[in-house]
Amino acid sequence: MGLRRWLLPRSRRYDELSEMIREHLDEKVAELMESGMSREDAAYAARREFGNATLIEERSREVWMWPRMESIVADVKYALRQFRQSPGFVTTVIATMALGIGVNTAIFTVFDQVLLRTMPVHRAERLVLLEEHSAYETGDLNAYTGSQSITFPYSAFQALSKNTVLENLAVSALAPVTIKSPALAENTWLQMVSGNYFDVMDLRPVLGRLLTPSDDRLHAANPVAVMSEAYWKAKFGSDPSILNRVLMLNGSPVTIVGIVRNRGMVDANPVALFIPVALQPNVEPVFRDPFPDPLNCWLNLVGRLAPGISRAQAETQLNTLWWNWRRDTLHVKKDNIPDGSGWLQTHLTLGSGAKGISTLQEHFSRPVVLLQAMALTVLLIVCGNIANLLLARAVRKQGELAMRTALGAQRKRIFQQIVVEGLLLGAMGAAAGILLGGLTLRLLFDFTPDSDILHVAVTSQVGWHIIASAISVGLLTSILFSLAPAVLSTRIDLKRSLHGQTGAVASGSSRLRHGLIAAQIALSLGLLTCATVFSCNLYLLHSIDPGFTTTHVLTFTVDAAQQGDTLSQANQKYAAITAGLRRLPGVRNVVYARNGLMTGNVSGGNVNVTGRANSFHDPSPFSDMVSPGFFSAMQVPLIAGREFTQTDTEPGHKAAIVDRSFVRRFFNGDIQKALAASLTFGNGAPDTPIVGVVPTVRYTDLTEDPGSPFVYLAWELAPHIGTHVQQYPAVFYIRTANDPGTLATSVQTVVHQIDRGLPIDHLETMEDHLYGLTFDSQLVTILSTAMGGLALLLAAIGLYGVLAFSVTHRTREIGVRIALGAARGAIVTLIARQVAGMVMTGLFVGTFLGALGTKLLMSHDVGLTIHLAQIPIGIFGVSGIVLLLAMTVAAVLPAHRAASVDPIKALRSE
Amino acid sequence: MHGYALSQRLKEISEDYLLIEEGSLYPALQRMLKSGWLKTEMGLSARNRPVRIFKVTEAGRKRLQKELASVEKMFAGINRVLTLAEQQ
Repeated sequence: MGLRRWLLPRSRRYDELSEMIREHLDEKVAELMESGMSREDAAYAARREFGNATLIEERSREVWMWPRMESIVADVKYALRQFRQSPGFVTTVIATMALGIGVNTAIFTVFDQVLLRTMPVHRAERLVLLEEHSAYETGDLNAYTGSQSITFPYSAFQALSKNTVLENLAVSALAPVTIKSPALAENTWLQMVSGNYFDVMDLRPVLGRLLTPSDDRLHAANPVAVMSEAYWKAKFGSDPSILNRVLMLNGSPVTIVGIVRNRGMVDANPVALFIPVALQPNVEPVFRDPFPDPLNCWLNLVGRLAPGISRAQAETQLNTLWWNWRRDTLHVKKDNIPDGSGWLQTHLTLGSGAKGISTLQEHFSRPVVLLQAMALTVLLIVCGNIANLLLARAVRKQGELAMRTALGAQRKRIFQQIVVEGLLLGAMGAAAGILLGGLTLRLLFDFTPDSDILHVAVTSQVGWHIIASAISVGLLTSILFSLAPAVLSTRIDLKRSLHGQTGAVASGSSRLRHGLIAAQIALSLGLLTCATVFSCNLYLLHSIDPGFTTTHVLTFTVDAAQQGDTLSQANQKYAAITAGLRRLPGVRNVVYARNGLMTGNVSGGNVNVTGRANSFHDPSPFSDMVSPGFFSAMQVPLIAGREFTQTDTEPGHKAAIVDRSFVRRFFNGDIQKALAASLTFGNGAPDTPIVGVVPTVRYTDLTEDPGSPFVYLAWELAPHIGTHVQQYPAVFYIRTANDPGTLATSVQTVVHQIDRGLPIDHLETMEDHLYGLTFDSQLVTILSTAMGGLALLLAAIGLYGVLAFSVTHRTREIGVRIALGAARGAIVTLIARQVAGMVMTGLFVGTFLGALGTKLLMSHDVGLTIHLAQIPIGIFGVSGIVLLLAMTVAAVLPAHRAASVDPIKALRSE
Repeated sequence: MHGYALSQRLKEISEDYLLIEEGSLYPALQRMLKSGWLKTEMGLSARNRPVRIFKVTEAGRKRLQKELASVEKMFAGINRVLTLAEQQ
C-alpha cells in the first residue's frame, strides 16, 4: 500500500468519503428528476435505494481505522461532550469518588508505612530478630521486661553465633550521643553494631567503606564510624570531605570512614552513626564493661537466614545452642540467679526482622488498621452512591440508547461507549482523589509536632504503588458500576423504551437502589458511633486537670553530663543557667527537674517509710528530683508543710515532698503523721524527712492513674552516684509574664553564653508539649470524625439522589393520583413512607454495627484511655438524631417537589 | 468511473440478478483504495457534475489478472465436475 495513502490525514479521507456518497445521491436524484419525479420523491427514493447512509459511511470508514482505537477515541470525545451537557452529574460523581479515594490514599499511605514497609535492605524478608521467652524474672523492677525480651547479653551472642542456620548473626544496640565537631554540637542517636552487621543487612557504602569485623576490636587503636546518608546530607550538606574527619562522640574521638543509606534498626530513633560495639566503653564510659556479664541484657540480635533454611529449622538449632548457654551460665552464675528452674524454662523464637524494631508498628498498627477500615467503609458508601448515580443515569438514558439502537447502532458499540464513559469518570475521580489525598496528608503533617514519631518515621510522600492502586480502585469502581447499568441498558426493549415506558429497568433496579441507601445509612451510623467514642475520649483527655498551670511556661532540656562534664560541673552549669535566665525581662521564675513533667522519663521503686512495716502490697511510687521553688513556679499549691529551699540541696541535707495519694496509701490520709516521717527508696533506713504535702499532679503522663503515689526529692548537689555519670539531664521550666514562645531565642543565647557546646533539646512551650502528648488521640479523633461526617454527607446525598430520581420518574403516577383527588399530604406521605423504609432499616442495622464497632474499639488497644462506662449512653442517641436530621433534610426537597406536581402538566408530558 | 455510475453499471451487467443496496459498494471501494488497487481523481459525471472518479492502478490491474485467473480456474474446475456428473 502507498505510504502517501497513510500519510494522508484521516479527516481528509473521511471528508472525501462523505463527498463521494453525497455525489452519488445527488447524481441519482438528478437522474430520477429527469424521469419526472418531484425533488422530494427523488431524494426519498435515492436514499431508500442507497441503504443506511450513516451506517455505510461508518463501515467504509472502518476500513481505514485501527477500528478499536479510533472508535474508542470517538467514544471518549462523545463521553466528554455528554459530560459537558450534565455538569451536575459529572461533578457529583467525581467529587464523591475523589472523597472516597482521597481518604483512602491518605490513610493507606500511612498504613503502608506502618504495617507493610520493610527496611530498605536487600531481601529484608530473610532477616530475623531473636526473641527470648522465659519464666525467669529477676525480681528487680528495672529489669522487668515482661515474659518476652529481645535483648541479650554479649556472651549469648557469642554462643549463638556458632550456628549453621544463619548466614550471619549480628548485634545492635542504640545509644544516645552528643556529636561535636567544630561546626556542630547535637544530641542524637547512634547504633552500636558488631563488625558483621552490614553483611547481615547486605548493604553497600554510598561513600568510603562500611564496618568490618576487624574494626570491632576492644581498645582499637583507630576507632571508626559510619554515618547515615540522611544525617550526612542534613548536617554536612553531603560534603565528601567528611571521610577521615574526626568527630567527638560523648567526648571520645572517632574517624568517619564511610556513608551508608540506612537509618538503623529502630524506626522511632533514626541514627546518625554506626560504630563497632567494641567502642561501647568509649561512648558509654559509665556502663562499665558489659561484655563479660552474662546477665546484662543490652543487645538486639538480628540475623539473616541461610539459603534454603526455614525459620522453624533455624529455631530448632538455635534453641539447642540457647539451652546449652543457659545451662552453662546457670552453672557459672548460680549465686546471681535465684530462680534456677525459671532460668531454664526458656526458648527462643525468630521474629521477622524485615521491619527492624518497629515502634511505629507497635504503637500505631491498631489505630491505623481501624482508620483504614473506616476509610474502606467510606469507600464502600462512595461505591454505593456511584452505583446509584450511574444506575439512575442509565435509566434516564434508556430512551436515547433505544433511539441509537433503532438507528442501527450495534449492541457492542453501545456497550463499549458506556464502559468508556465509566472509565473516564473513574480516571478523573481517581486523579482528583489522589490530589485530595496528597493535600490532606501534607496538611496533617504540617500539624504534626516535630517530636511525634509520625513525623520522624513516616513521610507524607504518596508512593507510586499507592497512586497505582488508587487509580485501579477508581477504575474498578467505575467499571463495575457502569457495567451493571450497561448490561441493563443494552438489553433494551425497543418498543417500550421508545414509548417512554422505562418502567421495567427502573422498577427492577429501584429495590437495589433502596437497598444501597439503607446500607449506606447503616454504615455511616456505624462510623458516626465510632467517631463519637473517639470524640468522647478526646474530650475527656482535654478536660483532665494536670494539676499545674500549663500556660506561660517555656521548657527545654540540657544534659551537661552526656558530653563529659562531672556532676559538680553540671550542677554549676545548671545553677548558672537558672541565674542567667532569671535576669531576662519577662521571666518570673526558673526551675528544673530531673525527669520533668510528662516527658516519658520515669524513675521510682519501692520505698521504706519510718514507723511502718513494708508490705508486699505497697505500691512502688514514682519519683523525681526538683530544684527549690519548683511548686510555686509550676503553681502547685502546698497542702501542708513547706517548699524545697536551697539548704535542702546542699551536701548532708535531704528532703522529700509527697503527694496526697502517697499520704493516703502510706499514712491512711494522716497529713501530720506524714510530715513527722522519713522515707527512703530501696531497703535502707529512712533518711529523707518529708517536709511537705502537695495535691496529686499528673506528673508522668496525662492519663496516669491519679491514685498512684508520687514522691518529690530535693535536687542534690552532691548525690551518691559517683562523680561521673552518663546522663544527668535537667528539664528547665521558665514561668513567664507574657507569651513564652517569644523567649526562645534569648534562652538559647543565655545557655550558649554559659556553654557554647551544650545542645538544647525540646525547646517548646508547655502547651505545645501537651499538644504533642495528645496529638495522636486528636489525629485519630479528627480523622474518624471527618470520616463519620463524610459518610453521613454521602448517605444524605445518596438518599437525595434516589428520591429526586424516583419523584421525576413517578411524575405521571403522582399526577394521576392528584388528578384523582389525592391530597398534597397524601403525596408527601407516599414519599415519606419510601424514606422511612430505607432510614429505619439503615438505623436498625447501623445501631447494631455501631454497638459492634464500640465493642471492638473497647476490646482492642487503639489508643483509647476512656472506659465504656465513662461515655454517657445518650451521646450515641445524638449520632442517631444527627443522622435522622440529615436524612430529613435530604428528603424534604424531593418530597416538596412531589407534592407540587401539576397534574395537568404531568399528564400532558406523556 | 464514479460511484453512482459504477453502481448503475453493475446493475446493468448483472441484469438485476445482484440485488444489492447501492451504498454497500462503498466499503468495498474503500478497501480497494486502502490496498492501493484503486485511486481517485476529480472528473465529471454524465450530468456534468464534478465528481470523484475511481481508476484502477497498475497494482490493481495485476491483482485483477490474478483474481480473474483464479476465478477462471475455479470455474474450469466446476465445469469439469459438472460435465463428469452429467455423463454418469
